[in-house]
Amino acid sequence: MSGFDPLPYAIPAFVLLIGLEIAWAWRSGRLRIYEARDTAVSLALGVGSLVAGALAAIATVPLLVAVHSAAPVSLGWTWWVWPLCFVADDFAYYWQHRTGHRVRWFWAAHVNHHSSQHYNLSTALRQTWTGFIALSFIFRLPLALAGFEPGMILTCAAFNLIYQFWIHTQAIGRMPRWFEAVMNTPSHHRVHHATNGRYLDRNYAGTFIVWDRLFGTFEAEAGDVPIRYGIVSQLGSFNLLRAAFHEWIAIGRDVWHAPWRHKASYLWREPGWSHDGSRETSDTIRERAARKDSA
Amino acid sequence: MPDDNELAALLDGLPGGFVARERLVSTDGTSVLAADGQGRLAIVIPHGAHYLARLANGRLFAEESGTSLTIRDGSLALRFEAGDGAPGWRTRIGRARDQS
Repeated sequence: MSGFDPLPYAIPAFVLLIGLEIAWAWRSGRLRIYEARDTAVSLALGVGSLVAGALAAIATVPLLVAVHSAAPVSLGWTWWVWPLCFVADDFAYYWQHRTGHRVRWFWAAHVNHHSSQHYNLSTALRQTWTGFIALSFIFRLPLALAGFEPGMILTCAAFNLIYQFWIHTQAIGRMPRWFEAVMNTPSHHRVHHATNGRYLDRNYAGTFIVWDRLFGTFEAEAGDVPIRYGIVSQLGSFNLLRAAFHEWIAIGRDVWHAPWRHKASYLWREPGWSHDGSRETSDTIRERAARKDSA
Repeated sequence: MPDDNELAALLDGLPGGFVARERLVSTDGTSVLAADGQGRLAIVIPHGAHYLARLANGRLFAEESGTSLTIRDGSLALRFEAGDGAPGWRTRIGRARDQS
C-alpha cells in the first residue's frame, strides 16, 4: 500500500498559525479567546491522538487493504480518482461525524474535541484518543469496498483533517458568498461548536458544507447572538485524562445503574437520552430554543 | 462575574432552562448563586476565561454564619453575603439537596 501522509508537514504551519492567532487575540484585546491551560490540554490531546492514530493504524490499515482486495473493481491511482476519492471521503466523514454526535458510543470518542469553552486554532488539534475503540474507522471501509486504494483514502482523510484546521477560528468572519455556499468555513463551524440551543448538532461537514444543506442539518450563523462554545454540560476541568475519558466513564456509570432492559440504550441512543426522561437531548434543547425564539 | 446577558444565557442553557428569580453574588465577585421559580438552585462559577453554570445537586452544602453563607460544591467553596435572607437560602439549599 503506497500513499502519502501530509499531516507531519502541516504541523509547523499549525504551530505558526496558532502563534499568529494568539498575537491577534492579544493585540485586539480579545483576551477570552485563549486560556493557557485550555490550550495546553488541546495540544496534549493533539499529540496523544497522533500516537493513538499510529497504534490504531496497525489494525485499520490491514483491514482497509483486506476490504479493498474484496472489492469488485479497483479504481487504481489514476489522477481523476483523487478528487473523486476526496469527495467520497468527505461524504463518509459527514456520516461518521454525524454519528459521532448522535450515538453516545461514538460521542464518547468525539466529545473531547468539543469540551473546550474556547474556540481557537488550538481547538482544532483537540483530537480523540479513543476513535479506534469507538470503531470510527468503519465509516471508511465502504470507500475501500467501492474500489478506492487504501493509501489514497488515508491521504484524502489527512487532507480533510488539515482543511478543517483553519475553520477553528474567530478571527475570520465570513468568506465570500460562493465559498460559504459550498465549503465549510469558520462561520459554519462556529455554529457546530456552539452550545446555543438553536445551533446544537448542526453543520457536521468536514470540507464541503453541501452535505449539511443536502441532509437538513445546516444552520447559518446569526450575527446577533453571542456564541457560547463547549458542550451542554460543560466539562469544567483542565485535567487531560478527564478531558480524554470523561464520557466513557459517564457511560459506564449510566450502564451500571440502568435497569437491564435500558442498559444498551445508554450506548447507542443519542447523548442526553435517559430511560426516565430526566435529561435533555439536543433535539429537546433545540425545540425549547425554537419555542423561546418564536414566543 | 458574567454580565446580566451572559448570566441569563448560561442559566438558560441548564436542563429545562432556568430563569433566575433571586440571586446572590459571591463576596469575591466571581460567582453567582441563583434560584428559579421552581425551587431549583444553580451556581455560576468561573472556569478559565469563561463561566459555567451547574444545577445544584446533592453535593451542595451550605454553612451559615450570621448573615454570610458558605456554599461547598465538591472542592469548591464560595462565600455569599445573604443578609436577612441567609436562613431562606439555606432552606432552599437543603430542599435542592433533598430533591437531587
